[in-house]
Amino acid sequence: MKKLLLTILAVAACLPAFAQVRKVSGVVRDDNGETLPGAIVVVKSGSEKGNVASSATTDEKGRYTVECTDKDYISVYFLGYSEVVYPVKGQNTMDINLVPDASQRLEDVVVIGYGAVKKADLTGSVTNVRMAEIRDEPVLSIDQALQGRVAGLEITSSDGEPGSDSVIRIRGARSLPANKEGEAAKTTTDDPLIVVDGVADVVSSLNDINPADIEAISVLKDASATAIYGARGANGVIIITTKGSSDSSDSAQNFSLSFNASGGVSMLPRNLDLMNAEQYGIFRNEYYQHIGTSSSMNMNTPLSGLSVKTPFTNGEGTDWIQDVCRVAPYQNYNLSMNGFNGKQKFYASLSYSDEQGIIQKSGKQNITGTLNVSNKVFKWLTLGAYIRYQYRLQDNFLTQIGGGGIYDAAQYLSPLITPSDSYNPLNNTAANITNAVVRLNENTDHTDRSMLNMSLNASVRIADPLKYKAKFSYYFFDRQRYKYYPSTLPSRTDAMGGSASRENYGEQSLYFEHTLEYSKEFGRHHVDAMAGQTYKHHTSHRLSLSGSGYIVDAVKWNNMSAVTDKESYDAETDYWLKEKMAFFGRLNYNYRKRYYFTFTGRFDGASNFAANHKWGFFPSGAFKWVVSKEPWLGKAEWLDDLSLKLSLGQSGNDPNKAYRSLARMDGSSEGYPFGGSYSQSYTQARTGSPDLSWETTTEGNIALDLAVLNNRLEFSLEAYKSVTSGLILQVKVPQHTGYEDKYQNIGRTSSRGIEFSVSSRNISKRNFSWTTSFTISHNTSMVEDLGNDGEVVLRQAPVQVAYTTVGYRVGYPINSYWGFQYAGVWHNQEEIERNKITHAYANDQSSTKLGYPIYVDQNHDGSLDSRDIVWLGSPDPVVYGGLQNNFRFKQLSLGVFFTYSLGGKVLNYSEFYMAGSRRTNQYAYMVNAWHPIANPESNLPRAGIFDGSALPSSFLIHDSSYLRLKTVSLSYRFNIKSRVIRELEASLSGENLYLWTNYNGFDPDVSSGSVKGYDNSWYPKARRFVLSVKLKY
Amino acid sequence: MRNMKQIRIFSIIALALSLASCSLKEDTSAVVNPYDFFNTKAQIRAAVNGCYGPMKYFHTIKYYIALEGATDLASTDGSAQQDARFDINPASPGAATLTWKWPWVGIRYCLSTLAGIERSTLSDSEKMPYAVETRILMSYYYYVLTSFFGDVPFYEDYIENEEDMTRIARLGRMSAVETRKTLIDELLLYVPTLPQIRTSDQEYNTCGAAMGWMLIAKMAAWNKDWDNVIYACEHLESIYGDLSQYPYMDVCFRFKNTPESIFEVNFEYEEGGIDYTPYSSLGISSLVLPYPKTAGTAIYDGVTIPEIGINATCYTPVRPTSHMKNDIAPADKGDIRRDINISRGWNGQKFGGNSQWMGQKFWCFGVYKNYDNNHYKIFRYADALLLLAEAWFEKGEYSKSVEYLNIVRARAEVAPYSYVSAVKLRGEIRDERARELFGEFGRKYDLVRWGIWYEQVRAYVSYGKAQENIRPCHEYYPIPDAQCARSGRILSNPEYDKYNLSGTE
Repeated sequence: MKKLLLTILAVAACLPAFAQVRKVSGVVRDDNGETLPGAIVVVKSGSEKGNVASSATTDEKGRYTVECTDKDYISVYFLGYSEVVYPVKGQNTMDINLVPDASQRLEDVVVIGYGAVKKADLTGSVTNVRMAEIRDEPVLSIDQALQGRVAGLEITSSDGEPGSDSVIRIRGARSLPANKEGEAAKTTTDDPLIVVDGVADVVSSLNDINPADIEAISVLKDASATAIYGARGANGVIIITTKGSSDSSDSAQNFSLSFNASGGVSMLPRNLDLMNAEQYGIFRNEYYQHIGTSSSMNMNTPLSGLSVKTPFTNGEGTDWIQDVCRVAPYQNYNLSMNGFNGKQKFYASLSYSDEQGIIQKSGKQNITGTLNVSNKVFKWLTLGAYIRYQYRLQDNFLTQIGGGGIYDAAQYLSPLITPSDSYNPLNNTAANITNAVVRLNENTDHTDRSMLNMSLNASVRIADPLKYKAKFSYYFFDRQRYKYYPSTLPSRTDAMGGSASRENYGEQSLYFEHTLEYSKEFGRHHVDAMAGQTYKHHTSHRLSLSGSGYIVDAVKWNNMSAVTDKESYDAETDYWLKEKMAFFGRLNYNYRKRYYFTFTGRFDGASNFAANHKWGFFPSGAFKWVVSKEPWLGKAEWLDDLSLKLSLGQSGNDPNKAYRSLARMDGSSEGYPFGGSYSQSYTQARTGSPDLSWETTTEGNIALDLAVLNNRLEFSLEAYKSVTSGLILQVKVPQHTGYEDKYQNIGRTSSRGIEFSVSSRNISKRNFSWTTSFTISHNTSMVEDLGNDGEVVLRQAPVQVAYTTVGYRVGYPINSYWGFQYAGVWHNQEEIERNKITHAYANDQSSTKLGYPIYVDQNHDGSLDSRDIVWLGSPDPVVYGGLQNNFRFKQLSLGVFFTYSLGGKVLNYSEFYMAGSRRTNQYAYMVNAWHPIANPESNLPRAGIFDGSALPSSFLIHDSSYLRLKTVSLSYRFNIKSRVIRELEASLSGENLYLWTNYNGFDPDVSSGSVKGYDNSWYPKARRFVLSVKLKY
Repeated sequence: MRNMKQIRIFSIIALALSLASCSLKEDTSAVVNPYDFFNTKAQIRAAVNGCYGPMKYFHTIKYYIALEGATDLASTDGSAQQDARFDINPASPGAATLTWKWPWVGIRYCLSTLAGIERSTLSDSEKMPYAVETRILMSYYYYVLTSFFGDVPFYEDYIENEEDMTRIARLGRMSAVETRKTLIDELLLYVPTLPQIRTSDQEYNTCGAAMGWMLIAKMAAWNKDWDNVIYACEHLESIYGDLSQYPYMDVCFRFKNTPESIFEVNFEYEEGGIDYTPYSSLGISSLVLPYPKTAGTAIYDGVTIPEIGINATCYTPVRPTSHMKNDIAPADKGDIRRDINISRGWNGQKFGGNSQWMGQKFWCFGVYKNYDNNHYKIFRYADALLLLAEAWFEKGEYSKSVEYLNIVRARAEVAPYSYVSAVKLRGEIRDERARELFGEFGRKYDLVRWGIWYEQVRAYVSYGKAQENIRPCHEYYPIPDAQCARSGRILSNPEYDKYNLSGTE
């Protein structure tokens, strides 16, 4: 293969080779004057960007020799240094000095919406992610890899299940998604728009992209950068450019093949501190002695008369969480090749990964294939195409750790029973349970998904300053879910049978994009402009079958109609069609690269916009002043860049779902029974909202970039303020309207924040280098207006009165926690008597007893109700960010990455039960529960005080501050002299290695759905060690 | 070269034009638009069917305890249900959570159906019966709301848009008496247009004229509008005729849509025999069985009842109070209703400790867990006759009153009552209602209507915690506090404030 390619290259090189061929030699050195062995020297024929004629590598002393002609150019590059190109022009000896890469960052190309600019010419707030720092790390998804690396980009894990998506927020939350009933009820989201190779919505999540295929990631933050995406831009945009895609500049080598293999293990980093069997036995006895309804047990009952007669010999008992967890293997293989011959360029990769989860039987396997090609057909025409495919097999999480299943989820189960038990004595309905371990063994549930994205594009140079580009893209997504719970589960009786479900969801879209680009210098004035149009046709559909009563477990979901009863069988079908169209443009002007102006605008039209609002316009403007280019500063050699950027603009967040603005009726075959069978019925589900519109965010941004000391130290400081108005809310309405909620463009939020990042090359010697980058961000997002409504509820307490636990209220941060203010317990009768006068506290039970938990009676009315609910904090951290340190000593490099988050709050859902309920196991701290003799001063509720759950209160809210040693990776690059293998690198890395936090749950970096900081112990996050070998040919 | 350029430009323009301007109008094939509905009888029927849906979501255990299981006749001793022990306040409103929500949903369905029928292109004669049926259903939902909560908002407008929604959301409590008056007037206008037949003769036993008259009578009784009670009940009398033709045994909940019935809430689903919907587990069967059950057997309080079977789930039961057992309906007095209302045993065997439990009237035979598939009898003909007795009494026509009272007594094989004094007759009518309609979703409403709820329940409810917690404000349930908050406190519970139960200062 290589020979063939070389032949082609040689032939290509011969064509213009009329000039005299001669030898040129020289030495390549770094910025400290030390020689660089292994640097690559390429001869480019005719011009700086000419075809590759030949190439060579420097020897141990940095020397090289190549053959070339006078008209050729010599280009030299070495990893970590910026490439240089010099004309030969009759020289025989060319010694070349390279400077480290960072010094040319201003020349880096940054991908922005519908185009790319040099970093120096960037006017908006766009952060380019340094992929080099990410590549060696064992994080398995891009979202996790990005955590802490970009100021203003906040990434919160949803849970630790392989393949689960993180919650990504650019500059905080703005819209208020009331997402209680799952996907279908989502109004808008706060998720950023993800654009891959110029096309939006061609991945269902960041997990759909093979991290190895990514060339660059840009994060668009301010409205000047995002307004070009119009109604979809308000949440920020993440643009991913894959390797070999036609606009990228990965043109260095003529051919390379690389293979990467890695393997490792994942494990549960820390368990919850729960009671063991001995502690829990004592707890049960205390409950029976003091609260229990059994008349045979009281304070004076001897041990032999109690419920647990010998608690002290119980030992540890069952550790349910350990019983469902495991040390899970991980493996990943990636093979890729790319080639370039001046005209044709290609990149192909194939990868397989198998990531097993730390909970038994869960995990995912991925197969990803990519092919990117482009061909310069004529001087004026370049054609390109890519195809990307991914197949994912996801073994879904079969059991439960926490959440609401208090009689069968792992953390709640009593250590006094064992995995073979199907009777849970704590369950007051006395029904059999299917415990967490049995679920794991008996149930089946997996999802497979395939995703295909194909694109053709053309770039035409019409006349010199004018360029036309066209793009045509097709996206296909298919998800199939297979689920079966057998009839043999202990919680099922004979008559119930097994239950099965099959679901298919698919999406297809067609996308066209046309852009015209114009670029011209007029003396000291530079103007470039772009105008474009897009059209998109998107359909999605869902087919879901579910039934119960299957009597043959072996066929699982393969005989869905084999149920006896229509009522236990459910078939649903849905279809959505969306059409979108947009016209957009951008005008850039600069004077001597000193004063920059950018204006953008976009007209967006979409079928899912309501009847009276089919089109919207989103403008923005930006100004940049490069202070360091001012002549009066010209002498300051230490100053490489000082620029000030200002921008103001508008972008939108559209309702996304089709048909939301239409009145609709829903049909059901399970209506009211007449004559013993269900009648067909149709009922009005929603009123029309013909005025429903997108949300509009107006954002102003100010930024200061500073680079000093030969670019060794770079700072960036940004501040912004944005206002989002016309929020689409699923507003709760009083039930006497007959409705529970309505969609309305009502309300306003605001965000403001400061972002600071610094990167520094502390030491840069030939054998040793040390670089540091650090980000710190602060964001406050507030609810300013909710229209008529006092609050929007996101999560309610699992108690009889569904008090709001997470919701929005005017004047408070988005995603605030609400509840009662915990005030300890009644310690003695005197306290109770005193309180009858002061009404300082109240308990929620109808009677008042010692050891009952008490809460602050905010309005001193002697009872506890929704008026006593107060704000308990917000999950938003005060500051968050990351600190990366990279060290290189000769061939050894070490990367250490910390992330941190300070000042936020997290809600530990399990404490609704595990701090006082008689229905579940308890946190170990409950051994110090209030006790009339042993512990009369304690402020923890008395053993078994809650028959169900505790009230939502400050007791459950914890500080979520943490510092995490997120990744450490140590790699060694072998000195290879072989012609076959150019690079060989081995690395050992660890993820989530250490966590400093005061939180008592698994991990404070957690969310539930889109509700940040709501910890229902869904799936704990893993710690991982990975060993990998990288080979490059 | 210039030529080349033109070709390029031409091709680009052609490409751009190929993007035919697309329509951004929504394709609505995936949603059912109410404005394209109601065009056929089948569609209207489906919409009217939808109006019945909310019934099964609030006729639940809690509603049953509130109406029957925490009264002078029966109580739910030892139960943790808040409704059983009057542990009720706006923040923790027990049965009110569902009883506030679902009737309003029903009203929304009715009003949107009425608006749809109005728009429909079908002829008036085709549309009218559906519209009247829908109005009757809506009146029932308002009847429940006004009986359960007292004064509630009242509107009959279809909520078509945002403005309507906002306007309705701002309605506060309105006079229940006025609401009933409006509804009675409307029903008086429409009910005569329907075929004057028994509910059991209606296809699928839907709500027809009989239900319409009964609602007029019930609401008029609340309003003490005795003329309309008599007017409506006499219509029922002419439809239903002689009571003796309807065997008393038919009142059992397991006999469905029997001729005497005027309104039953349907729960039966025949194909699988059992109802698996989540709400059905709120059915009352688990509350009314002899207690306790021996696990894995059909033995209930020591007595084998094979008809109920081994699969039943039993909760802490509703049980007759001693006032019911000993004062109102003493055993062995020849009243055939006694052993159907209250069970002392089965197949000749007596329950342990001579206990008396809710009778076979309420049992669900062959029940699976708590999936009750009985129909709940809400209104039946004997109720109308007793209302006539009451109305004539209130109008001072004691002999007519006694006449109707004795129709009901005759069927129960009880000796006729002869007039002694007005006070005694009133007591006898009230006790007769207790004997005849025991456990049929209405005792609380009767007591409240008579204005004796607090004294009567306080005196006779046997559950100690209920006696301890009961306050006069519990006569009507509070509107859930969360809903008061959503209304911006336009809705409130002033009665509960008086007893310091809602926390308003």
